Amino acid sequence: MSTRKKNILKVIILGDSGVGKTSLMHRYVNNKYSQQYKATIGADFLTKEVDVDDKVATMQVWDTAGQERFQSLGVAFYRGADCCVLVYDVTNTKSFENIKTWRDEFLVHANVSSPETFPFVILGNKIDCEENKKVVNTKSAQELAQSLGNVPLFFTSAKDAINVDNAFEEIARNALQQNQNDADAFEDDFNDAINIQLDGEPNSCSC
Amino acid sequence: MLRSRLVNSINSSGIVSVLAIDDSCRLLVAKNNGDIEVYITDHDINGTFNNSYSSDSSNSLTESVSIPLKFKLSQIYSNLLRNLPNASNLDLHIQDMLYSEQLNTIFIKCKSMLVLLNSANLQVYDKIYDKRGINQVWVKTYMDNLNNSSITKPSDDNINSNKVCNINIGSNGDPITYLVYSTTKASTLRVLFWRGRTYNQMLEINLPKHLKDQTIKSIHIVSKGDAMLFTMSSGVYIWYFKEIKNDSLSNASSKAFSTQSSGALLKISQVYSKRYPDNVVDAIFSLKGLYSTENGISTPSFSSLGNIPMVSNDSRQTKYTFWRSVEKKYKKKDTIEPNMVSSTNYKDIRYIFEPSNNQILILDGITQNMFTVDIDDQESKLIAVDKKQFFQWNKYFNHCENISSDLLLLHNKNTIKFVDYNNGFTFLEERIDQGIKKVINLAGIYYIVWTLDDQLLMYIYQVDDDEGEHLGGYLSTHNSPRMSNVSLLYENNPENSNDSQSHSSEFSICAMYHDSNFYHLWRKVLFYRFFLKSPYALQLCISDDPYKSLDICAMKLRELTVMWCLQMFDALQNTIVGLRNNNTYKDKLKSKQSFIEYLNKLEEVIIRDIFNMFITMWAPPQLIILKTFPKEISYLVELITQQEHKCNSLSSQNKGESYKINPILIKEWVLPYLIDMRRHLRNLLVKQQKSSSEGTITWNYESRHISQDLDFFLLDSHDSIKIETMVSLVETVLFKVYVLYVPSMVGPFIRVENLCYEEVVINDLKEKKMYQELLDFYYHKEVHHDALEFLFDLNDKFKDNRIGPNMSIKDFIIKYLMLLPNENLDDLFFYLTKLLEQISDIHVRNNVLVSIFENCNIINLKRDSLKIYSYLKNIDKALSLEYLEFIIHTVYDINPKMHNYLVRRYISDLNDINNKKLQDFLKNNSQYNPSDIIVLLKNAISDETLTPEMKNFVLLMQVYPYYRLHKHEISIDILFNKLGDYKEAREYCNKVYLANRTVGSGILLYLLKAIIEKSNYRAGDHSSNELLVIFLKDYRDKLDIVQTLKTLPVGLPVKDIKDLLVFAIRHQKTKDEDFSLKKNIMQNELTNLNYSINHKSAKFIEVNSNNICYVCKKKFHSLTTDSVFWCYMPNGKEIIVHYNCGKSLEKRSVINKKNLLPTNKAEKMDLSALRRYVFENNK
Repeated sequence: MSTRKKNILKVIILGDSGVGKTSLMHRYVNNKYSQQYKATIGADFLTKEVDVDDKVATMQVWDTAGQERFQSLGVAFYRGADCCVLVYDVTNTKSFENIKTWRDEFLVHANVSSPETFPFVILGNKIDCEENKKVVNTKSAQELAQSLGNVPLFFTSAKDAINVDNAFEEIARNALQQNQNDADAFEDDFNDAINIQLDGEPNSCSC
Repeated sequence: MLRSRLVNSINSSGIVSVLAIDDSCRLLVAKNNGDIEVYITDHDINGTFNNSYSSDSSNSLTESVSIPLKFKLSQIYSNLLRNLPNASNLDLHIQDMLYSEQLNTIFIKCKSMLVLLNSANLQVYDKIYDKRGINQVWVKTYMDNLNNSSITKPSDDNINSNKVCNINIGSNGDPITYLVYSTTKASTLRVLFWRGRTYNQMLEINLPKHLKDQTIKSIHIVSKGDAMLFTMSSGVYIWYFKEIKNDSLSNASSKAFSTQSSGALLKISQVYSKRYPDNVVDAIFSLKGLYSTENGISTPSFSSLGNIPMVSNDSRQTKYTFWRSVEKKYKKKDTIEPNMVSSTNYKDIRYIFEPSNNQILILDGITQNMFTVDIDDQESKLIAVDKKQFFQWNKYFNHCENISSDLLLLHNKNTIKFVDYNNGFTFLEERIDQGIKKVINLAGIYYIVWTLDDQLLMYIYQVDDDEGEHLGGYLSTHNSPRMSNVSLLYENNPENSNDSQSHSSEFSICAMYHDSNFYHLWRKVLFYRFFLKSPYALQLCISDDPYKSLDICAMKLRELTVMWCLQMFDALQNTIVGLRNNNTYKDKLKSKQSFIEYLNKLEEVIIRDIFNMFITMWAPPQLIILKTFPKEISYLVELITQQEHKCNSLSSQNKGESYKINPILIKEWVLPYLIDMRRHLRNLLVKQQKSSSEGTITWNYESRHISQDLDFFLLDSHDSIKIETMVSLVETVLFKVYVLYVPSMVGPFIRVENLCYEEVVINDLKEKKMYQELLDFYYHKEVHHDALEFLFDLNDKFKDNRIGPNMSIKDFIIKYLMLLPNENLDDLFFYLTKLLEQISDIHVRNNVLVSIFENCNIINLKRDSLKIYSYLKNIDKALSLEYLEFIIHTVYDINPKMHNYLVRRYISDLNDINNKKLQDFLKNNSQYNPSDIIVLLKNAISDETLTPEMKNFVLLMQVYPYYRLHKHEISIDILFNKLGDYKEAREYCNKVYLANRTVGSGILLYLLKAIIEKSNYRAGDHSSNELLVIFLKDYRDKLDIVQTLKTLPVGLPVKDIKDLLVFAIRHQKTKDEDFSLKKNIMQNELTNLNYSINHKSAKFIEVNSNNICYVCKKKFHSLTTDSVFWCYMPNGKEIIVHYNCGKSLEKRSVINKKNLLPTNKAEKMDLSALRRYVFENNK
């Protein structure tokens, strides 16, 4: 008798405040976008069924509050994460510079079993904006992604639905792989059948 | 603990049944003469009596402190059932009463009839007759939209065999009420369903013959209301109300008795047990069991350790030694309790309940187990946990009821006990001298005892005054929330444990341990947990300020939990060390893999639970580090805080061989504690820095939210330390744990903001040769000088040896220099020069420079490029040009100075390649300053050394900046007049014309004049006007014909301008025709509009004396001169109203204002002279 780990992929989105984490999540899950900015409080999640490489799973996308950094979410929140999405805003250099810090903070707070191989995906969001507003160089982003261990990098627009599905497909793929690794390492606390006579008669088992 | 107090009593002889109706605060007492007495309370007890089935603790906590409950007789219904038809033929003696809040119905149980009464006025409205006789009855409600609340009231009662249970489980749809009864003769179970308040259906199932004589002990609605679980002496059964698949029935795990249309009855026969203990206390017992068996207390049987279940059997055996001693204690008590019922009473219990953790449990006295029920259509099963301890402690009790999430009410003939359901610890014990017939638990903090002499005694239970004193004592000695002196932990203080279970100072699990203090703590922890979790926590408090008291309790629980956990940790380490020192186990620990696995699992469970509790309780870091961490880490407490901790040295002396937590467990369970503590302390640090005063953070436990400052993390009897020191301690310990157990996390940790003790970090990283991490540390502390000096020293020491994976020290230096920010540019140049001096190969040098300065790293992009350019220029000119090109073409640097430098560099070395680069730059780059570039180019032309071709090239280059300055005439002068390049001039004009037609026409005219001027036209000289003719042909469609003709020289043959003229005429003709066409179309449109206006104007209505006003319903008089409104209603209907009626209609907004005829037209309308109006009101 065993209880297999459920195929739920826990994906956590991190990044500075206002980079579009919530918008990306809503665009991916609901295919909706709102121009209005509303700061996220604590954390919130949406789920979506994903089918990647013929494997079906439920992706649980956790959106976090950028303002808070890691103030209110404890280790328990990050436990069991399968992929971490780091988002920056192509029109905001600071948000890009903070990507590395977000990654390191995540690794510290999540206490992941294998920090070297834990999957991250970087999204450069808001590419719909005018060219002259884009201040983060594409090559810089590529260099960063490479320096962090060839992390997949996508340039997205939650507003115009550019590349969001592709990015999340890659996220799902990475998360599924990580989930599989964890499941392989996961050992069940097997329960053993025992012979208890519920009618109170003596145990007739010979063993 | 809890203490109950008698608040009221009712004497009433001949009671046959008592029913408490919580929602209307009434107590119904049925008498053997058929009378029903109704008692009501004096006080408004809604807050305390009602909401009994609500699990929402937050609501209850807002209620006021309880008022003692007093019932007074309100009404007597004399022989209530006498008026029933056939009353004389039937035995209508009331046997019991049950109540359904959902149906507002009281069910009265008679021998073969259930009578349904309206609960408000006790009027009989229906009855259920069953000639087979009615045996046991239950009423249950399955509620929707509520989560996992199951409160049973009252409990299984073997006296009357009647039960009332309410179950609330989250689902969808209406609440379902179930009336379940068993028949006396045919052994049938019948269930009637009400969905909402509407009767739905009835199902009936026959019990197998061998169950015929058994009573049902407990029932529970499960599987989202689709099934009923019930227990009998012979087993646990599930009745699926719906048909289930055949393959499920054939499953060996469940034995199907019946598959009637009314569902299927299955016996759950599969019982499993956990291979390993799943909580810390069980694990500690198992661990101690391992040790004690070896010490001769119990017979060890580890010969078959390959079979893990046998291990658990062994552990049970060892527990027996303990239980026997408990039994002795109770036997002593037996001597003074002559009325105590026989010791096998608990064997009647097989009670189903659903505590707050959303699990269905069966407390089973027959097998002395607690079963967790796992219901599955395919394979329902029971997971057993041994509860011999529970039943030994509570062996004289045969009635059981779950009265709140953690609490069971037990009673026998003369004693009531409240115990925690998991372990059986007593929280309240009340002896009733009159003897107990039944205990009725009310909502909140009341219960009623129906005594053998037919008295009803109302009790209130609250937290014992002793506890209050204890808390008071805690307050008086603890003005701060600091953790109290933990040296108590190591004292065996029997005085602290003089209650019923903790008088166990004389009985211990094994000879080595004196666990009275442990049991005392354990029970206290469980009690305070229950207290704080209870939805009636406020009412349980006897205090003027219950909120404050509860806060104190939460703090006390924190302290007790930490102490208790540390005791368990001590037990763990002593046992493990003991096992390791034991010769028999030494061999086993080496050879028996299954034994090692079992031991590891026990250790994991203990460490997991202990550290999870530390996380919940925000256990003080100093204490936890000192007590649980290995010495190579715990020394940091004294080093960083500069405090002496005697308790540590004392306890460590006793340890002998030290125990270290398994590294895997440190990673999995200890690290989260440190990470969370770091988070809390950092939050506090940030708040204190922000507010510059004493900031606080909130510790949440159950319903308590308590503001805490640094004192919360400190220990009593120790000096205060700064928050920074505390953060530093936790972070340094975290660092140390990473270094020792998770080296791959050192890097990420060292890169985030930290206050790690520098000396420790630097020494450790150097010792471990973790150079990259060390450099990261230096870098984030911004001590770049130290970092680079260290690297150069290392370089001098090891030369070119590789010290990392494919990394030489020079690589480390280069990598570090790459990351130096703009503020440290001078340092960068200094150390780079120092490095370059050590490199002789020019290519290698250049590669180093390129890697440092020609990368897209954000740090490099933020550096002062001018400074870098100057630096590079001094080192290598070609490289500096490459840098300029990188900065401008790759990074898109917009600094005009850099552009000027680049142009200057190209001009200074004009050759084929540079010419092309220059032209590309000027042509395609829009960021340079054109005026500056023009000056540069002009200066270049004046250079005498340039060849004419080069001069022409430089001249041509001026056109690009002039274009950007919109000085097109100068460009045309250069292109056409100076360079004589008509083709280039034409391209230029085209480009201008495309960008702006007006400017383009102007510049074309300018070019025309230039051509005329240059061709120096002479009449009759055809060769001189050749270019002019080509130009006119090229631009016949773009030139302004009038201006062109004015400009053209006199005497130019008409044939030369024939194309131009023909095109101009045709173009003009086309324009005229277009205009004419447009005019005609518009004329047509005008005619249509006029027709439409006339058509609308022709509409009219005749008002005469037959017309009735829509509003006042009066006719219009033909001899009046009143004005009228003719309007459309919103539904399109035309109406005529009087002027005043129309106005009032308008005011009432019945008619949309838009629908009313404009008053300036209508109000003057005279009935004798009707006029026509055009209505556009709906448009």
